[in-house]
Amino acid sequence: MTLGLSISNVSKTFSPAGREPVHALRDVSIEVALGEFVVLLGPSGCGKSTLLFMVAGLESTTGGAIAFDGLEVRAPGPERSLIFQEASLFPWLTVRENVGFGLSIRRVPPGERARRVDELLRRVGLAGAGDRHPSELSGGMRQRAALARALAMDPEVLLMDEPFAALDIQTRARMQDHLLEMWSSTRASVLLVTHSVEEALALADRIVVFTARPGRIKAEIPITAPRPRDPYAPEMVELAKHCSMLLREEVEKSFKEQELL
Amino acid sequence: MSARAAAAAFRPAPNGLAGAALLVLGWEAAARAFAGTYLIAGPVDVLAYLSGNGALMARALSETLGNAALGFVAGNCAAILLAAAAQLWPRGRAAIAGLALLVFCLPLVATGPILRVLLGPGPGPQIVLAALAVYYTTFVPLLVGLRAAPASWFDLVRSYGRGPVTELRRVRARAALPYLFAGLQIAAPAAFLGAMVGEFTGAERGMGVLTVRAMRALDVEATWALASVAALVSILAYAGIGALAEMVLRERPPVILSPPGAAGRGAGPARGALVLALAVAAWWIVLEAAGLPTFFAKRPDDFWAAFVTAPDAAAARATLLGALAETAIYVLPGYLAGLLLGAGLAIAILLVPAAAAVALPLAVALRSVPIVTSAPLLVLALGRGAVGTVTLVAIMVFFPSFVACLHGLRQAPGQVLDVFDSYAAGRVARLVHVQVPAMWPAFFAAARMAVPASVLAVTVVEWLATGQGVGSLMALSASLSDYDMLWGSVVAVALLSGAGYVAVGAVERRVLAVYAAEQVAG
Ligand SMILES: Nc1ncnc2c1ncn2[C@@H]1O[C@H](COP(=O)(O)OP(=O)(O)OP(=O)(O)O)[C@@H](O)[C@H]1O
Ligand SMILES: [Mg+2]
Repeated sequence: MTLGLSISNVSKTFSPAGREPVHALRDVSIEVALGEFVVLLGPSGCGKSTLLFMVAGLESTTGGAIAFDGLEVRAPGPERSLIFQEASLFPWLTVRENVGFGLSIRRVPPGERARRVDELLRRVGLAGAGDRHPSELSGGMRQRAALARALAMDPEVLLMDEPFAALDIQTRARMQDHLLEMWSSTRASVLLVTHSVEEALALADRIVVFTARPGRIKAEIPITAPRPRDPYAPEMVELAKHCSMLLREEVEKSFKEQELL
Repeated sequence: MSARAAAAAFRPAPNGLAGAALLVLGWEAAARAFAGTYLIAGPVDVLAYLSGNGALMARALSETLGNAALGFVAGNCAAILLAAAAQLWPRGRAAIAGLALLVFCLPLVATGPILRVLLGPGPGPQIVLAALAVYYTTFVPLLVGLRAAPASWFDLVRSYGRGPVTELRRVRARAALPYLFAGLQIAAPAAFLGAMVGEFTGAERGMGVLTVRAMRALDVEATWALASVAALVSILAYAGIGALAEMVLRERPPVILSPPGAAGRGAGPARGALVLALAVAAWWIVLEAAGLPTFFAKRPDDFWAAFVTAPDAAAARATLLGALAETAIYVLPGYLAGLLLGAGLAIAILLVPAAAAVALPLAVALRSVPIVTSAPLLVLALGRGAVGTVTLVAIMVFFPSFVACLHGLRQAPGQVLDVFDSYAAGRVARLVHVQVPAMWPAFFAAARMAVPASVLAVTVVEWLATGQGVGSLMALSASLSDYDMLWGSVVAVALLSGAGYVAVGAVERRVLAVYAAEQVAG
């Protein structure tokens, strides 16, 4: 038995009624050790979101298997928490209620819920904003609230689908630092999808580069440099060039394919 | 847009007051101009009448309000349950929605007397009619509202390992609240209307009874006073629910409450046949289960016998079809005129923004007036001929389509408008290329809902006054206890008005496929 997340030979084919089947992923294997930070990088449409949804248990696989701590994943579970691209907070709930939403669905008693929510709000730096509504928050604050909501489940794996894509560059950099802090204090594993090579380099223990659809693993790039990383350090620049090149090849392939369609 | 400003859209803007003042002044001026003709009682006359007959009016109002309130609660509860059922059971959605539409198309005037013999004396029929008048306009927005949420909200609930019931309770129900409130807002005046129509067709107390009495006695002051009170109560109910929505909600009110495909998509004729079969079965089962005598509770086979197999079936058919044809002659021009005027005026007024600012809140308020309750007034003013009937239908259709079109025109996507402005295109080009296409979804949604409304209007005047058409045939059959003909006309009118609704929906799909593909895709 392996501890942590194990994705072995997973494939996914969508068969929409009355249309050509779509081969989204083919034969993907990734091991994510406890506490490891893995970033998925790949061209649009190569199945990254689909893979996260399968790990979350929201989508079934059509081949291969996903296991967590040796147990096969068949349904959602509290040890795997998903964070969406848009914060997807409920506009009618306050930040506090949003963060406590999962706890209340899981019938955690109100007293304990309040305690845990306060603690989480403090950790993500939203202690003063608990009674506000999402529409009164900046994009970065909303994404931190979503992070707090995910952390409320005490997950062992955080699944993040382009969590910072909707943020401006400065906020994005701050959120990355913030995420690293949270991560090092929880030691949960992270599986994060991004389109940005810089983001991948700033965050990852290991970058997994996908091919154009059907998504397969093109390369795995471990990064050993200690954080915080200097993006202008020579070895980081080298890595960035390498990743960009790999990514560009696949993006071009997927563009070519689209033009043929 | 801030939450406050967004919610404020539930309520007519303050410059509606200017419009209201103008309206009252114009009304008084008209009354003076026509003084001595016994056509119009002005606001001063109405106030004088009310101060002299306050106690009578208060008793009648409390009776009607009570029935309307019970019907409002019953009808909306039914709507909420139906919508929840359709949501939790997607395969039944089309059938539930189709049956709901068919019941909504029942002509209330004729349903009233049938309910009277089924339920006996007392307020039962008025309450049921009020419920019938409200449930559909709440049900349809709810169907939409329950799905009007981003997929990630549902993924989130599923990621906590919960299914459709939690999803409905914790997310969909709340996400649908703006739609519910918009439906309730329309329902409040409609409930009042339903209760009054119930009283038109044979009750002992209430505003409707007084109205019929005043009309028969050619009592102009009383007729106008009753219509004014009905209008005022409806506007207040509408505004009250709007204020409540504003307190509770943080979201913008939805513009289009009944987009096409709200009921789900499927093969048209097959689904229609299924709905009809279910309706016939339900009709038969309910009456049998209640053990009602076939003398007045006609079953489907009685209907078949009376209009197809009986020796005098041909005569019965001819009578019914003749009456329907007479009615159609009034409905069609009134319906088209109301729609075209509504859309035309909305477009025209958009070119004069100051006028739009005054007209919209006023029209929103007037839309909430149950026009049908003022039918006797129009009969008094315009006579019992074609003009009065056609005008009533046109007014009935005008207000909702005018308001819908204005909202639709204002929905035009800002970015597209910016592109036009950057070409320095004129007002008219903007209108033709951007705003009018943006209006079509709202226009057609209103046009569909206006079909049963105009049939209701026409049958009410025919019943009360004109002595023509299917409304009058219903009144005659009710007074002669000719239950075959009464049930027959109910069935025929419901089918025709349902067919009209479906036909408008078909035109709508064609047009929107060109102008607003995203609306049809649902
Ligand atoms: N429910 C579905 N039915 C049919 N095809 C689907 C479905 N969901 C996803 N796909 C297809 O599967 C492929 C992978 O989709 P996915 O959303 O996982 O890509 P992605 O890598 O996350 O892309 P992006 O970077 O643009 O978010 C796409 O071609 C998409 O069109
Ligand atoms: Mg994606």
